[in-house]
Amino acid sequence: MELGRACSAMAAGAALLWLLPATGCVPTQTFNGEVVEPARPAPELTGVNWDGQPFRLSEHRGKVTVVFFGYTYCPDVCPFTLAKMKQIYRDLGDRADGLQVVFASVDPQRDTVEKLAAYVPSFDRRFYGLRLEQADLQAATDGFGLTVQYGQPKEGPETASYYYVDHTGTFFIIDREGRLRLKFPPNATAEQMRPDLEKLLAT
Amino acid sequence: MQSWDQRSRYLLPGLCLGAVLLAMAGGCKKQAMQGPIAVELPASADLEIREPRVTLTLDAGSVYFSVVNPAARGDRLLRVETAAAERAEAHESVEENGVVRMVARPEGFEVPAGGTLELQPGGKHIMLIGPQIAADAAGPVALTLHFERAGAIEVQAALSRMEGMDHSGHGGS
Repeated sequence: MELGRACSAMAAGAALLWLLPATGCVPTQTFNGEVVEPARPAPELTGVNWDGQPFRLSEHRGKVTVVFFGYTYCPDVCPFTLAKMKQIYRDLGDRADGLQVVFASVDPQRDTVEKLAAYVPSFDRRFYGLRLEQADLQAATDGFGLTVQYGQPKEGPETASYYYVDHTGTFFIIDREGRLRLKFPPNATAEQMRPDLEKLLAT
Repeated sequence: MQSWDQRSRYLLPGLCLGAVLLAMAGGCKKQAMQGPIAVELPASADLEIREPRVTLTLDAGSVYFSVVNPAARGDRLLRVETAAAERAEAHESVEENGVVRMVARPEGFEVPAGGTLELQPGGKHIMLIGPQIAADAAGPVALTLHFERAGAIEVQAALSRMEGMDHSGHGGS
């Protein structure tokens, strides 16, 4: 009888172990994003913020940071990326104080500080919007491993010359110690990113 | 008359059996639903344009909508005409290894037979080049969609301004 009871308990235990991963109850630290291993100091990012103040990423430790690259002429992906960040800020509520969002332009020719001032803070005034000089953009391109390609300018009868910039749309997530920890693809949703940010905010 | 004890003796196994049968029935039903659905599509039917909307940023704009085609034959969205921009072009944002590229689609977009063409952020869209929309205009924006078979369809698109989404924190700058 005792043996039978022990067997039953073991069977139940085995069943539970088998079920746990499926139910997501395993208490390990997992992330939705691509984990950067080993975590390494984030590459430097130097520029001028939309308010005219100089910005250096390495001087902004102590908060969890989301860095991504784009340009204000970008009609389709970039504005929705900023809107996504705005949603994360809203969903985090008070905890958003521990998060900083850095949008860095890959188009210094058109994205002047004034242009960024008209664009970035209208999504959220807490967002940084950086203009990088060519040398700083090159350093960021090398450091973050970006692809940036400028398209051929198109002309129209009345339209001023315009061009697109193909660019890396990855979200780079940096922890409070300034280490690059996670990456998310450009199409990641706010719902996928928020739990990871919450975990980093809790440490 | 059976006593409660006698009835309860059969109650538990009965419930279990019932649960097993229900689970099996549920499983069978699920399998049945996975089978091919034979639906005869009408030879011709009107296209339905859903949720036409225009989003504006500082210097650019995008048009999004869905085209539902209930007919057995496909169609093609050739171009979009609007007085709201100097030009409107079919474009697609394509992502490869984390790099976002903008690809022009001068051939327009296919509307599959019995299917839906989706124009949405981060994918297929109509790019507005040189938007001609007054800063204080609230919309809607008139668009004419030209299809290969269905011809011209006029729609009114809702207007939203991406950079003006945060009205709460606007200061002097």
